[in-house]
Amino acid sequence: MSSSSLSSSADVLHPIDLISLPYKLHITDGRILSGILISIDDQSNLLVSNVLETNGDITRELGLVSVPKSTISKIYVDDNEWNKNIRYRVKKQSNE
Amino acid sequence: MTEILQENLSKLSINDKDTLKSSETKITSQVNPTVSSRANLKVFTDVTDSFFKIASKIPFGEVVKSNQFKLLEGTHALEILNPKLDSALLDLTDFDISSVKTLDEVNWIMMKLLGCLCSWLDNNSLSVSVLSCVYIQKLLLNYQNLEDPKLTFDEKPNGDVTDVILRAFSLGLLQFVKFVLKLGQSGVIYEEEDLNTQTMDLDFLTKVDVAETDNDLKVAIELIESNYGNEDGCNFCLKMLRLFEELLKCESLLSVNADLYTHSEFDSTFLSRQLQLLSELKDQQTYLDSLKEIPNCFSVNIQRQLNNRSPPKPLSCLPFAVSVESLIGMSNDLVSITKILEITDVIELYEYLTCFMNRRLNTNDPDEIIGNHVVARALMQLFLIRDDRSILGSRKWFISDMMLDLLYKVSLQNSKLSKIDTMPGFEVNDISYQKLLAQLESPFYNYLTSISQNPSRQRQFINKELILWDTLQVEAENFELELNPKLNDNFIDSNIPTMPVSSFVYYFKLVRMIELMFKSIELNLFKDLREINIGYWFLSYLIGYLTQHIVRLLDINRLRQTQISNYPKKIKKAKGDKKLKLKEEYESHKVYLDQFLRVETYLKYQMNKMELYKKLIELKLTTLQILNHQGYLKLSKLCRAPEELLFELQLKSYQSIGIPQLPTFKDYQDSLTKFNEVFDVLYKQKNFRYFKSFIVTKNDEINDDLEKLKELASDLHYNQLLTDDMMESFSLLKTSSLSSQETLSTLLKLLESEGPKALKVTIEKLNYHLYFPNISIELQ
Amino acid sequence: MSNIDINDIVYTPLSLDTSKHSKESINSTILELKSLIDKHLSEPYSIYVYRFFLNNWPELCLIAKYGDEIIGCIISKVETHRNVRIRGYIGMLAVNEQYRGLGIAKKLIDLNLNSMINTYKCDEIILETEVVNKTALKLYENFGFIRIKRLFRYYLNKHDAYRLILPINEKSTIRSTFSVILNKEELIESKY
Repeated sequence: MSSSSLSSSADVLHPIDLISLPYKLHITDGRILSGILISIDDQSNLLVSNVLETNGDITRELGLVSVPKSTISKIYVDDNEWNKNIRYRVKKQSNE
Repeated sequence: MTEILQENLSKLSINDKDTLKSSETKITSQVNPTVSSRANLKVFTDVTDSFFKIASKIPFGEVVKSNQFKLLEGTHALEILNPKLDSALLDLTDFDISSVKTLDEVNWIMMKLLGCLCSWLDNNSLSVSVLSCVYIQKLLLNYQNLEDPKLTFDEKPNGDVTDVILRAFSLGLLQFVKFVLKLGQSGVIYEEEDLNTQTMDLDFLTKVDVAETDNDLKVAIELIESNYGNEDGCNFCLKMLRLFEELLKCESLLSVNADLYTHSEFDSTFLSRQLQLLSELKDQQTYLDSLKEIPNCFSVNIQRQLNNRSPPKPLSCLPFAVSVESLIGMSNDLVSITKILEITDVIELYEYLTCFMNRRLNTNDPDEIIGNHVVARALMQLFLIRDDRSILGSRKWFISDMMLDLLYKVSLQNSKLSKIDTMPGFEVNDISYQKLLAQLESPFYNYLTSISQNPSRQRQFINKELILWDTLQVEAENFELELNPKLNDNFIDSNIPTMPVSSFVYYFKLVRMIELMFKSIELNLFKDLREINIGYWFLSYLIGYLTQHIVRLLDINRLRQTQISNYPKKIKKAKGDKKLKLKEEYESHKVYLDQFLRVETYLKYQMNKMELYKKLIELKLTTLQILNHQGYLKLSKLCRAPEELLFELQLKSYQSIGIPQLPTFKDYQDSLTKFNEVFDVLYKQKNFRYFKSFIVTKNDEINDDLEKLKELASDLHYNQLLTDDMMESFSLLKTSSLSSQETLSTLLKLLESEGPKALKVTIEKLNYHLYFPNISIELQ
Repeated sequence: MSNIDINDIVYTPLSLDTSKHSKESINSTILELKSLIDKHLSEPYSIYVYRFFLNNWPELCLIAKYGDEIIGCIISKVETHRNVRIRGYIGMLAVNEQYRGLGIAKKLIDLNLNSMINTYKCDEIILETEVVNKTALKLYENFGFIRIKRLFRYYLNKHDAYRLILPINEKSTIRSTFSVILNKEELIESKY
């Protein structure tokens, strides 16, 4: 699936569908945080658990981390899980 | 060296905080082997725009999450790019481990490491203390290296001072940390509260045998002894290495297997050597002050580089003198644990453990309340009670045996109940009896575990224990009352049953009820005169009930003594089989005569101690009630809760207890009213004769009580530590008595004099008995 | 300080109602609160600490304003305790040091207690504070708070703490083990 079709079909997702998926967050200072999304607030500040921080070649565990929106430059998601959620939403919509 | 490094560092660090030394990156990635395997199996796609588009649908003020997750858990989260909550923002510093070449430098590092160790033991984390040392970090990370684990600082040799001496010291230190971590994780003390056991997921030499480290220490010691002279530096170094040789022997306490009361041998030379070395180290302060600091040898690097679920924190290291003092305290506390092997019976053991529990560190800070050293507290538990519930690893003594022993001595010895397993027709009763005894273990075990807790936790344990004793008292009384018509174990010429088990339970319940109140006073929970007044007033009731009950225990004790002395007459009168039977009984009963006499002395001691406390309380209450009359015990104007509610909350721990019948708020108000009525008259006349003679009488009574206590104490023949502790408490009680008298006298004098009197009343803790702080009164 | 008229200090609870205030103004209020608290309390708090308190109990976040400036605040919550009582908890209290000595903290606590007692029907109100924080102790204890427990080394800087409780009714004086369990309708659970 190309990323453009991914983004348009993603419009069907609800905020709750973003929860519990594995993400890789690129932070503005160059770090990458990978973890499971636990919570999002109304300003897109994220709460992520089981966080692994990669800083250059160093990787370490941080646990539960609050990631303010202002610190995020890019969000990567587990393709498989993301698409699963899209398919689920699409199915739900067509059933209604 | 340092200047060149600094220059190079600053060239590096301006823009590239995260691209630091490749050697470190190689090492740290191996700490987390699971990381690479996790990431490789999945494909990740950029959904940045979609994500935020979807997230923007979240209505204002809402938080999206799964129902199972409670936002409360999120309050402990770290936060990215928040300097208070993001350890990645810490500045890394660089340190060349090959730069240390001299013994003086190594000595400086060892001195700091000792300070770090003691800071950790003072409830800081390992990350800000021991692990902040670059050498320790290197050693542990090299040990962690899966491909090529090595117990060295670096592949390249650097010289004996680091590779042999500092290495041996570091390993010794880490072995000791490993030992204390084991104590901390065993569940007998509280992680976080008593000791921080977070290890940043590092392996603290789990597979390295202590014997191997011991050998490394010996080699290092030999090296110094043979190559260096007698300078300060060598002496210091030798002592530090030897100190850890001895510290590593502390673990031997856990493998002691001994029977109680048999005066088992235990080689505690390592403890005296520890104390000797520590006292010698104290004298080296001048040399240590001359040593130069090595910049960046201790740093926050590890907080940034390793697994870290905590916010960034500044480094923590206790000054050398303070560290030595704290280790001396620890060693002394460990010595006191070994004294358990010298104890002669369960009465002495109970008193000794209670004494251990109540020991407090002498401090000039009234806000600091600290008991025994955390290592000693944890060791005491694990030394005393083993995983299999045996006491001291004995095959003969288990918790149940110890409890039973105490029960026998206090009230059960020679009772009929103690023999129902041999009496025909009592089989069913015996089953219930055994069940009851099993239940008794619960509050007793709670007591045994409470002695190792920190002072604040001790009170919590006692608070919980009251309910256990109270529930048990109901069970015991029901059982014994139901059984007695059949058993007939009564006092002489009466229908009153002795009820030994219930008497035992009630005794300890009352003792703990009183302890709870005294500990509330000690922990400063009663913030003002009004609350202290309620505390002491309530205590005087509790003590009254206890002294009354001790009379009963003495009656049981003396009954058994009388029963023994009645045998000869009975035997003379009896004939044939009966005579033989009585002779047998007599023989088996009279061996306990000495025990009864000893327990009698013990009970008399407890009685006298309580009566002394009561008199001290009377002095305090008189002062407080006069102050109440003068209006110093009023509630604040802003107070939102009615006084009755505050009263009940203050006494909440006792709320569910029906026996003894506890005084109510109304009783409290009545007692104050009655006092005010009487005092009003005297006050108007300025006639305080009664109170002045009251002071003199109490002084004499208290002095008499103290003398009696000293006599009884010497009759009890306790070990030296316990006796010393008792003597010290007598001296503090005397001080408290004198100060209470002085306070009351001062108050009366001030009230006698003419003119306006605004009084300044303060409560002083320092240098007074823990349970009887001083009330100081002066004109404002 | 002498020029400040305490009657000009306005006390209002936080409102998340976008029909009354713009989103921007609410967000900027919250940022100002964060900054006030960050400055005056040593415990570090992430955004999600504020999400927990403010999104669940905005009315229990009371703000003291002088003109346009936020000069003090108190942040609390109310939840069921062990299913037997309704317990209020005071989480944070901060007053700008330029405005100390004017009774602002006292007023914040007073009004906050009113909300917890009258609106939420709390049976008791608790908080923890360091044993060395004599100012805070005096403030709360004047309202009748009692030291119910001492907590060993509760804070990062290694001091002990007291747990303080203000009893509102009888329920606060009965041990949880012996208390009556609340009905389902009486239970208070946080939304988030």
